[in-house]
Amino acid sequence: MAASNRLAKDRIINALGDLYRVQRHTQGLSAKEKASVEASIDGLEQEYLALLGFNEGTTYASVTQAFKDAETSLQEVKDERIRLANAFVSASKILGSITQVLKLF
Amino acid sequence: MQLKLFQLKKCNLLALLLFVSACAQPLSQDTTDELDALASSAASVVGLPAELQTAALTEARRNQALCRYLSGGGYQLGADIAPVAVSNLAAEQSKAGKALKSYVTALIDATRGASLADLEKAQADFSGAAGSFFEAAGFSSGSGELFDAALSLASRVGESQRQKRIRTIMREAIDPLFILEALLRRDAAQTISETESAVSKWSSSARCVLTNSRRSSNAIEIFDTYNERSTVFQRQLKSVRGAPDAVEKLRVAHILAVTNPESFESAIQEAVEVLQDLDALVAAIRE
Repeated sequence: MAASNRLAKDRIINALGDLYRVQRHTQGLSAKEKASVEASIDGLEQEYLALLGFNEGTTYASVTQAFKDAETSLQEVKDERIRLANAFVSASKILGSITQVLKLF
Repeated sequence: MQLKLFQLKKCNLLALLLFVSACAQPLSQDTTDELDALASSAASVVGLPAELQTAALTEARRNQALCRYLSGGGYQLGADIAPVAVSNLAAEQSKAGKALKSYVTALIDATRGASLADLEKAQADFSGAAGSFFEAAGFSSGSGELFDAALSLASRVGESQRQKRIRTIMREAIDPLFILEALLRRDAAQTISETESAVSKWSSSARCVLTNSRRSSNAIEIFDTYNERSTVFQRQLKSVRGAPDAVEKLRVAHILAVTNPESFESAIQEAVEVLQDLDALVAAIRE
């Protein structure tokens, strides 16, 4: 159920991406076509909200936590770069020392 | 035979490096600066009701005390210390707004090239140290070049994977953005009513001070100060009304970024273009 839910959401996101692009570049589209694009977007957005289980009881707390979790994940990406950079710095120092020794011979 | 094999390996590695490099460049400074300004401003709007209510109610309390003093009534000194109470709805929105702002700041940080530039410099220094080592140890210069190419490729592949993770995180952020926008639209009437009520209290208190300041030598200056303050509050109220649309723009920007099949820079640039539609909001919030 969760997998098919995720699949449906991904399909909607991909479709919305295409429609938003069309909406942003509407030169050459008739008024009827523009209205059709808008109606499609509205329909897909409502469908997505329904898949998210949004209802009158939904609170701000779940949203707050989700953004905090995303921030933590992003921080991990940045930390990984920093750890790698530090590892290179340490390795450079070690190699430098070995090289100095080798030059003596 | 060994030389040909070496040349073939080097050729393939370099070709791979060029290909991966194209996918793993850090964002340009202009793109990240723009994304920073626009996305941060969009995120700030969510917490604006609480900010506005706090400012309006705090100043109203001060004005009321000043008015009592100017009109010859009893007054209290040092009563401004206690914090004013904003509405529960504004408090909840403020928490969500802070979390959104922190997420956006972290996103800018992760996409910005600064930590990547540091990594590349550290890697380049290591590559230099390795080259000196190879020379001192008696290896051919070709070995050093091959090692350099392999190291660069490994780093670029690693960075490409990190950018993929950033896009995945942005994809996951779309769900709370959808919900936040829906919540703001659902609660729009109540948010505006509560915030207007706070501003209205400020207006009454300001009028009281102005009425009692008419005979002051700097009455015009006092009037101008309160007039300007009122304009700022009205402008910020407009921004509060625009909060759901601001979050919508942020949501659309995310959807465009994660569905863009081009490079990471192209995906983020597309997101920036969406956020540029928020120019008016940005200007109002920065007052």
